[in-house]
Amino acid sequence: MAGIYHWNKYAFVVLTMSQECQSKNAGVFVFAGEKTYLWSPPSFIPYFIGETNNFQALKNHPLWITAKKRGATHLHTLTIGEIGRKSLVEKLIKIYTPALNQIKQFKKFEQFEQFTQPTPMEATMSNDVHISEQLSETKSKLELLYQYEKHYLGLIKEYKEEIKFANTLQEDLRRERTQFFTQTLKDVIQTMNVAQVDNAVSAQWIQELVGSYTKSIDLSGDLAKTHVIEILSILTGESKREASSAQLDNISKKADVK
Amino acid sequence: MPNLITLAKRLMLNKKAEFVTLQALKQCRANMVQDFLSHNTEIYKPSYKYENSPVMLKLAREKYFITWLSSHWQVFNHIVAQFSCEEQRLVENIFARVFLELLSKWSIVKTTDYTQLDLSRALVEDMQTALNRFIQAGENAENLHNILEVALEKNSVLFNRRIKQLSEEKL
Repeated sequence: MAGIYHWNKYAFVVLTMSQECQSKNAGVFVFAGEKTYLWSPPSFIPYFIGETNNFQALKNHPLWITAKKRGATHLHTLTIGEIGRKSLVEKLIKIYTPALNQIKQFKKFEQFEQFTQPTPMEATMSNDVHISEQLSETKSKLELLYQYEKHYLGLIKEYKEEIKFANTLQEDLRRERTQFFTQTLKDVIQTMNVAQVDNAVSAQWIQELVGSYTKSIDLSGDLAKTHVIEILSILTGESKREASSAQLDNISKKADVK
Repeated sequence: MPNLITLAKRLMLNKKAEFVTLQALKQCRANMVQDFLSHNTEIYKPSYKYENSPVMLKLAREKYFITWLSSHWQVFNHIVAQFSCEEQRLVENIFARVFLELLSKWSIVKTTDYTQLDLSRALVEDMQTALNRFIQAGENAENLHNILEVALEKNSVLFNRRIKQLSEEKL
């Protein structure tokens, strides 16, 4: 059975934060941390006081985890109608000055004091606010990535003809090599046979022909490969340069904001 | 943007040089195959004449392939004849390097082949030396042009001289 704890003269229902709150009532709530004493009954430190239109939804409150991290162990609830709810919250905050209500630089916390059960859209929005800093960092990273990719695609477009050219070179060489070994060589052997060149003599010529042809076509392949590597290194170099300048821009923007 | 333009220009020139080099290599391969198919006398005549004389036959083969190697420069010159001087210089430099690479591939095999005649090795080395000097000279390569051309042209003559000498010795 839940206990009762008085904040000022108001009796709040006490639940541990690990318990599931069954009440869907609206009212005022306190995220509180229990303090036990040897000779006196336990008391509570308030970490946050706010209002809600549904106690059950408080587990989704943006400060739930923060309060727990600071030492909150219990949720205190007081069912109260809309009239007077706000003024009660203000009054209790004034009396107890809970830590999380006091962090003025986090202006957004003020809106958390009036925590209503969020619609899915509102829940997303409030989460967005909560993780806004992380999000903005992620956004800037994504922006950087996007710029990098955009620039890279731009370069590929720019060097489309070069890439096509390199590809055509490689394809031509592959085709030529296949043609040589499947057809041309047969034709040469046949021609020498028809010309009645001695088989041993013919074999020596053919061996030299294959060797020379292979060396030449290998060299052509190396050259075509070098061309591809050069294009790739230009593309990569350009993109890296762009990315690093974008990064610098980003840093300077951040510095400006600060 | 100017950076991109410079890059594009560089790529364009390199592309041209590479294309010409590949074209020259391809043309020479095609010429070689054609020599075999069209009964080129440099191949077929010695094949009958020296079929019982391995050394002479080898010399004839070496003569053909060394001449084929040096023909790369002529084929290349023929392709770039229409180019501007500046373009020729750039393309020539790239081609010279590739040609040298081809000779190196050749000489690696040849130097491990102990039945190889000294003449081929010497001629390939000659061509390599001339090409190296030509590449190193860069802008001032003009006067080395002739040295290179001579190094490439003399192959056939030297082979003929050696063949004649060996034939006379036999007689």
